[in-house]
Amino acid sequence: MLPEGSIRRGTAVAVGGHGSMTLAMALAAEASRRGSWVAAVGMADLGVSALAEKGVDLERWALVDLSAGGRDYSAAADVLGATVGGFDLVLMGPGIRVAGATARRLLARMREHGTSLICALGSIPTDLAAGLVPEVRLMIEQTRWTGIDDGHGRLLARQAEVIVEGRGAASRPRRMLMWLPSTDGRVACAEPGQASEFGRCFEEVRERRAG
Amino acid sequence: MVVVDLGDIDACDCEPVAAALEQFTPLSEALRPGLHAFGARGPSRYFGGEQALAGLVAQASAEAAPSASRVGVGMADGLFAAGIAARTAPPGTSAARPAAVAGRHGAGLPASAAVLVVPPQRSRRFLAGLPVVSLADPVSPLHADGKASEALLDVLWRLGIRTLGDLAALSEADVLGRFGWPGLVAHRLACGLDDRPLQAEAAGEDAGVEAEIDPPADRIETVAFMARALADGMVSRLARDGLDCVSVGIEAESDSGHASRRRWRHELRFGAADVVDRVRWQLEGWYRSPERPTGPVTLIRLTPCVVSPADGRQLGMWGERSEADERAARAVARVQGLLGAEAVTVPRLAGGRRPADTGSRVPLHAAGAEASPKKAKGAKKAGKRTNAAEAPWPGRLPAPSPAVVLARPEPITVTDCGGAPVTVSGRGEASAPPQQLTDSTGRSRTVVAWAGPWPLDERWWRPSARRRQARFQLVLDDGSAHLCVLESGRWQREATYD
Repeated sequence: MLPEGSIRRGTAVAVGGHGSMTLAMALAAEASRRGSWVAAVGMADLGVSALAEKGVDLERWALVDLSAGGRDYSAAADVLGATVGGFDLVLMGPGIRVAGATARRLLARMREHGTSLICALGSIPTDLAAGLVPEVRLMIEQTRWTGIDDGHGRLLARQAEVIVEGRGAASRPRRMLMWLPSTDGRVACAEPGQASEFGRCFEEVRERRAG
Repeated sequence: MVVVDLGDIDACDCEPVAAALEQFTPLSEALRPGLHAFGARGPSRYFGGEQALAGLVAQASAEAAPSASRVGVGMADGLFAAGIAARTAPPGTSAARPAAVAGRHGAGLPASAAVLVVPPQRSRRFLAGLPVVSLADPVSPLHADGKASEALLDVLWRLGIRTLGDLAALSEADVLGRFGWPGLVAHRLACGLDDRPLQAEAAGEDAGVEAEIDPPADRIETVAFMARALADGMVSRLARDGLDCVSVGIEAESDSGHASRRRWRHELRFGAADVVDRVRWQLEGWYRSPERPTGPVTLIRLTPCVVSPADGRQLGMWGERSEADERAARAVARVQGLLGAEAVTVPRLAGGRRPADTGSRVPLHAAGAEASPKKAKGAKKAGKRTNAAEAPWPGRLPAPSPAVVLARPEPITVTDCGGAPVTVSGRGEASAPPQQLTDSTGRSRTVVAWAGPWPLDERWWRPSARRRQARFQLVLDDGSAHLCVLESGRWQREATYD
């Protein structure tokens, strides 16, 4: 999914668009299956059973609630600094903004400790404050649910079109078609045969919008 | 919890005391020679109240151990408070014994006996007046790590915190931020909160280990040597499963047909060497007791009794500690210092039908306590570790589960093509296909696909807790999908398939 297979240690990845939480969880699940410690900061609404369905080792997760006891997000930078020093992977929820010098310190600390950061930007992504530049950005452009109709069926699987762009190896934006998740619950890139079919249906969606 | 303290007493003189306590409860445990504990709830009801039970226990212990310098009996909510009560009860307080006890036993209690009963819920008040050095007492979980507790007490003293009351008055987050895990434990102890499970539960039949001793051994050292190998295996196997052994049952059989069974408790957790010490103590006592074996020992069996998820930090998730684990633990302690102890939680699967019920967030300090007694109990009944999350829960929506579950559901309105709110009839049918969803900020979106309604009627047997709702999955024109419910006429967005 990522240009180098998985998240490079010490770098940040940003995910945005509808389905970004599922994508962030899937990325984190890969890391936690390898035995990494994961902290989710400012994700008060994280669905625990969805997390378990991605094959995450819940024993190695800690959830940090930034708004505990009626607090605002003012402690976010300090909390991120502390978790980045101790955990192998940190998930950062939407709504946290890290500005200028703090962001640069955070990135330096991540490189020093080999910690990766996944920034979930939410369904309507706004840019992170200057400084915290992600190595790779995964933007979910189009999604389509299958299995559900007008009063029939249920949500079964989701097809998504993801734009991958970033620095270095990923400097040229790539368009990827993914299952998010597929009918068997996995998050995976669509196979070549499916991909063309996917592409067609997204074209249709686009045409319908334009028309 | 009742704790009996016999002061400094030889290991071999304790055997009669352990035997004497068996008339009160089959689950008495020894923390070390001369310090015995058992749960009080059942026995105190049977023996006519806490005071009466404490008096009887003091009487029986004093009779069983005439050589003991003192007999202290303490009773309180937690092990720590009860232990401190037993060790600090002033002699001569046996006057507290009720008339019934005196009447039944005529002679009353010996002068060396002391009884102190702390009423339920009063542990904190009782502890408040005691000096902080009580935290290093052998009944405290901090006793096992002498160096850490010494450092902690030293700093507390220099900060001017002289009593447990002073410590309890500080905020939990501050203590945690400054002292880390030992500080949190000390604070909880000072507040009268003892996390260690009171109820002894077997870890399951298969967790026990035994060895035949062939040729039979007539020296304690030989048996201890065999026990060493057994204990190593048992402790490492539990550690691999992420469990700690808090209490262990030791059984020895001789070829003359005698047997000795005792249960030992550790203030923190058993290592292999600790188990071997207990074996040695038990055998010494056995060989000098009236029921001593006439032949050599042929069999030794170890059964771990209370197992809690590994680590005193009670994260419940750290097995053998690696460097990464330590690093994560330090980071957690710092975050707790910044935001308060409640801010860091561990995700756990729980049983339920609604998305908010299927996953729970357990505060770190509760994660260990919550897992141990309940799971051990379930393990005993079902023969393996099962929990509510693995039960089928008919009526819950199948996978995929929503990735975002709102902590506070958002009120919304859902209307049909005519603009009227969509309702669900008593027969579980929607009044019209949902057409428009308006969120709490007033933004509207068109529904492009929908499914439902799926009725849910939970806890109908208890009117105050009953929940009746109709669930819909709605896909909107921007590609987002939501789980929306209609409950007593109000629409709410409970979760999003983000």
